[in-house]
Amino acid sequence: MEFMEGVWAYLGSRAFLDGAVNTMKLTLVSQIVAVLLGFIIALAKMSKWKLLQGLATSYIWIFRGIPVLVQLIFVYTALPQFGIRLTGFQSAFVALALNEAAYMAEIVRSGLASVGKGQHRAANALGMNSWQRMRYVVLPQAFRVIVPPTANQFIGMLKTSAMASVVGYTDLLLTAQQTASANFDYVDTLIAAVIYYLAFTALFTLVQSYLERRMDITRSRTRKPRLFSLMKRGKSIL
Amino acid sequence: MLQIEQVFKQYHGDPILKEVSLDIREGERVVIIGPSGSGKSTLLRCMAGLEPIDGGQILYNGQDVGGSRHARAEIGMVFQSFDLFQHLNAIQNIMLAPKVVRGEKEQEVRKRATQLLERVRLKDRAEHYPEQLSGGQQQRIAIARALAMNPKLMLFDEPTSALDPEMTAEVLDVISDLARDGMTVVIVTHEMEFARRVGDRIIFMDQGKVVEDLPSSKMEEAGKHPRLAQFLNQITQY
Repeated sequence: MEFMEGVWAYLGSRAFLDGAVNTMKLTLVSQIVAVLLGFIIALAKMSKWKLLQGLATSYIWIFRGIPVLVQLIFVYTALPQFGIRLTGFQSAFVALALNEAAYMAEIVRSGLASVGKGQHRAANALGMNSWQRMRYVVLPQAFRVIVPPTANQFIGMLKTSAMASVVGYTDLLLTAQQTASANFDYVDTLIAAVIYYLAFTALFTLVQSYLERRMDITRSRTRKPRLFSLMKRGKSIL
Repeated sequence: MLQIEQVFKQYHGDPILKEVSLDIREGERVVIIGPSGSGKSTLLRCMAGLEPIDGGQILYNGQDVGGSRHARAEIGMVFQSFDLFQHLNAIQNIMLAPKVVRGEKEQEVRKRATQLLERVRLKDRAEHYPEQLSGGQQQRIAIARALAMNPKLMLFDEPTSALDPEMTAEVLDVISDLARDGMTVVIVTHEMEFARRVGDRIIFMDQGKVVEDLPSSKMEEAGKHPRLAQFLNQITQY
């Protein structure tokens, strides 16, 4: 089959491997930073200070309300007019992470809110300070609610990262387009890119179901939850 | 041991505690009774330093309980809803605060936790998670968890009102043992039999005020105190 041969050749080519690595790099870096920012915004939104609450709410409104492509083009083309010049990767990373942080903030907030008042009260009564309460009582329980949708967001970010091709970042999509513009082989190049995307999605899905199984302490009455014991040894999944 | 002086507290403008003064002496077994909404649970939470007060002061050996985590750690509190840490099994629940708050060594804490499990007659449930335990068992673990901090004063907020009569007995037995061993105990309860048997001082609260404060031996003379007589009549009617 001539057609499959073409795809195979692209899949193993240096250009597509680089494109795949670039896509993965942008996805992971943007999403991880978004998770961290999301935590900060969620804590701001739940704080008792009205100013912080307002800032967090405005952030979520702005970054969730503007199309991510518009944000990306703004960072790449408008910021240089203010003297901020970023590369394709940097622009994509900034735009994707800031946008995604708005969604992560809501996910983290619902996770933290899922830990009942009684848990906070019991921790206080035992003399824990607010950091200890967060670290040992609230976060381990909130993670059970936060992790599954966060894994979904990773998959979403993988696909959104294709937008970086419009600012000249040679991810999978731009690699496919550049290859095709030289040899007009649009079908095989795009199929090669698609195969990489699907493989990455499958990988994230596997990690997701692994984490969910590890965290579900109710599923099996005898098995110990490994994730929590991992975290106890100081290897937080963050 | 615990001085409550002219404590005033309000929620959204409604006064909950109106100038409450009480003096809890070491070794005393105080039972607080009263109709719901009389402020008894709120008073107990204030005594544990878990809620801010709007006037007066609460001193534990001269220290303000609200401002001192040290004082809070020496005052054990048991809640109506148990509030065990859901992500930890029974023995981990007991061990968490001594390790985290006091920085005690794992080995010593485990030894003490095992003794406490024995004391609340749940040695065989050490590895069980809260949701795998009955209400009565959860409450006994919650008592062990509070005792693990070596408190000098134990506060119980309606510890059995969420339990079946059968489980009520097993929890009250544990509390009676504690009281017999000389622990200073303050308990809010509707179990009048238990109050008479274990308590040596009965506080009757109504509408945010201490209405009666009398030795439990004088309970039979409740007729002299019209509001208390009416209350006792109501709760023993069925």
